[in-house]
Amino acid sequence: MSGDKLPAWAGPSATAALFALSWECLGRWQTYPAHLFPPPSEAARALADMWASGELLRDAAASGRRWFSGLLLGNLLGLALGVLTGSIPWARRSVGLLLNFLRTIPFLLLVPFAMLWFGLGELEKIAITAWGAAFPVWLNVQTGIVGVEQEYVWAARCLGASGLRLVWEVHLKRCLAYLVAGTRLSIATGTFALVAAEMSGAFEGLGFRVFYSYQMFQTDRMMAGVLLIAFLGLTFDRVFVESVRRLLPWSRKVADEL
Amino acid sequence: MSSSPSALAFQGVGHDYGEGPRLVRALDRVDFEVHHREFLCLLGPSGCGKSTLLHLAAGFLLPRRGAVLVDGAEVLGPGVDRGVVFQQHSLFPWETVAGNIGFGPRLKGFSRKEREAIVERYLAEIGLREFAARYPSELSFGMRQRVGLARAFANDPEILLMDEPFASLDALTRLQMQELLMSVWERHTKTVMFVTHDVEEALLLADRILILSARPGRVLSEFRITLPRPRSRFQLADRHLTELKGEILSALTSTLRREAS
Repeated sequence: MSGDKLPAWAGPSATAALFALSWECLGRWQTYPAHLFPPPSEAARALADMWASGELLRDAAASGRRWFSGLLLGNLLGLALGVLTGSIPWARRSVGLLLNFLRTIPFLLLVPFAMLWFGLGELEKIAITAWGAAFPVWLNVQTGIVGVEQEYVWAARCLGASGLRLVWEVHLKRCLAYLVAGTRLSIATGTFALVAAEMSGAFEGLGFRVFYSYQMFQTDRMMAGVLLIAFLGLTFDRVFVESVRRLLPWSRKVADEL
Repeated sequence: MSSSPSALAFQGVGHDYGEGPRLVRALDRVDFEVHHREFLCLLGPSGCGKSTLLHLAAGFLLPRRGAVLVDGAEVLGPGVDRGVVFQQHSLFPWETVAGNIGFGPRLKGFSRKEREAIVERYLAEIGLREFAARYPSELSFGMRQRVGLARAFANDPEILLMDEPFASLDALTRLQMQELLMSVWERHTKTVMFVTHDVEEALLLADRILILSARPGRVLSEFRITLPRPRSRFQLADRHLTELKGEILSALTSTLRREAS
């Protein structure tokens, strides 16, 4: 069965419904006590409470601000580094090893340092998010640029492209699929980093809320926070991919699927 | 020597690939000139360094020995004075047909209006007006190669370098492309260096044909084609041209035999 006749949303909705249903059943059958393994209905109720009290909006807004600024900063940094190491072989050789070394440091371990350097404010959390977001963008942009066919570069140079114009007109457009993949990965790694930063030295934010609920042993609120973070990440990912598709009509010509 | 330098000159050019025991001598002591507005064909067996010569002229490679001069100045890299038509069309897949043809003019800073006029003119010349908004992947191989030709001409270079542009096309499409190239070239006469291994193609297109030897590539002999233009492939049946074709073929086979022994 190819499933071509079904509407596009049928498959994903069925998977999500089945997943939620099995989880709900597991929770209701008390495989674990419900307060240790809250089913989605409990999480939803907790979410509604948090919404009603206004703390959900406050937490989401706080996290959203940090997340957005951190991702933007991290993506710009990763893009700049990727263009540098991707298009200049000696830059790749000299800086690449160091960047790979830094890339493997778990950002959880950097949070205490960031608190010491930037204080307990927003800057620290934005910096950690940017750090987490920059590396996947850097690595993907570098890989994409290195893989650009020589003939496109030659053709463009004969037609008058050079320097940053060449990078923009050929390398970045050609490796759009890598740019998109890098940013999508950074949406996830940036979120990890932000949550790590919010687990200490924060007084609002979704990461803070999950950790705080854990300390209060409110597992339904913990679960609600976790689900909300995942849902927001997924939403932003879809919005991002769809906007690339619509704003850049040629994207399908360089990438079969984004 | 004439007072004005030739459009393109190879002076004692030699080039190798690799180093040490893996060194392959691709070209050795190559000397020739391409005159202004001349259509020159380089004809040689595969692996004789024809494409290397073209890449040297384009500035994609720098020669290990000797020098390549354009209008008397040494080639140090690619430039807009030399347009290239590649064997595989190498159109930008992210640009439409119009975007590909207008790429050079856009980078030169032409206004949208000027650009559209240029694109329109070349689309008409290659007969692909209704395909302006299509992407290269939506075209047949022959159409893509026509766009590749238009893209190079639209940038208005002094010299056109063509690297077996029709080699990957089927026989009939190749004939059409040769006719198209002749008609476009006769309208915008430019200096052309055209690499091929097809003797009839060279006879039809060239003012002059250079025969290259097999590795290392060197210029073996030279033939002048005085056939008046516009030309037709039916003239190739002419007795004089048939003899010329025989001479060229025997020159080519002798270099192959020399390599084999």
